Amino acid sequence: MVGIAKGMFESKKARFTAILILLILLFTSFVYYGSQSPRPEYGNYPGEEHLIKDYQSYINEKVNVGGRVVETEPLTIEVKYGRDTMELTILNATVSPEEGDRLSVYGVMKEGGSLEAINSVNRPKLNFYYMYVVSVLAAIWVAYRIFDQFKWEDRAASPKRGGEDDG
Amino acid sequence: MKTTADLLTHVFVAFTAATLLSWKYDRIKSYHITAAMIGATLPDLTRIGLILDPGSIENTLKIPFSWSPLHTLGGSMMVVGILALLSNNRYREKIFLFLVLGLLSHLVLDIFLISTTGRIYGLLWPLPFKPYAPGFYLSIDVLPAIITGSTALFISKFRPDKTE
Repeated sequence: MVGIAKGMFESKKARFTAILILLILLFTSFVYYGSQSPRPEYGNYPGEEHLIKDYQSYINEKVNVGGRVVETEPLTIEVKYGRDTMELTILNATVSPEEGDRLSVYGVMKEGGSLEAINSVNRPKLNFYYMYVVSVLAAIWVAYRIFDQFKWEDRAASPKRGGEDDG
Repeated sequence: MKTTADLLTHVFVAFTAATLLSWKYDRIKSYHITAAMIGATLPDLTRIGLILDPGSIENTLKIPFSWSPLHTLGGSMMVVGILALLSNNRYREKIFLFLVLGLLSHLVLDIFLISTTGRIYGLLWPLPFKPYAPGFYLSIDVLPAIITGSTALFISKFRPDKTE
């Protein structure tokens, strides 16, 4: 990283090679992270993926999941991973969500697909949409500034204005 | 379910931090502020998962997969490296520094998110632990964006005159 800051990668070939190495490292990290087993002792509890694949092996263990509330009596959330879904009944929830809200629950897995909550955080439907709308606005703002201020020239990004002082 | 503070709050904070620096240092230009704002959006690239679902990728490629490294120090630094290398040699060093500034502001803010377990999310990966941290807000709260947004608006309108 220091090398980049010090301007070590001057030639196009060196830059291309370094980018390729970083992309490979990044992809490796995606696969490595995906292959990680939960490690509760480090706060890395079993989540949606693990429960859907085999919730039986986590009975009486602490898990941390979230999902859309599909029923309030009894309180039930739908947990998703990929195309697979699973319904969990939440016992002892400290919040009272409405249908459509997103509920995150940290608790103990019980027989028959129920989860005894130790702590739960609810995200009301409306606030959830709010978060998406403002996040998209932020992305548009940043994208606008990129197109307004940078140009792609000679296989590199340079500022359109104000770059004279640099270098 | 992993979440982060809303992206707008992160972008406001990075904009504010970089703009304040530009008051002090004349050599900091508008595009450096943009670089900080880009840095602040990088951890939220995990949202790619909404379109390219990791579960479906696992089923298709038959390999384990997760976008989560993007929302960690290690993973997002790799993206910063790639973006810095895409910049012209002449401007790379400062663009790199401002990308890092924005990135760190994002991760620091996310340390204070409320989590169900009381521990911070895997922000420090590849370090294998999630320390306990106080939670002050949720990603869905409206207040963080209002506070940081009005601060950003204020400093963008009221730059003090430099009299030397």
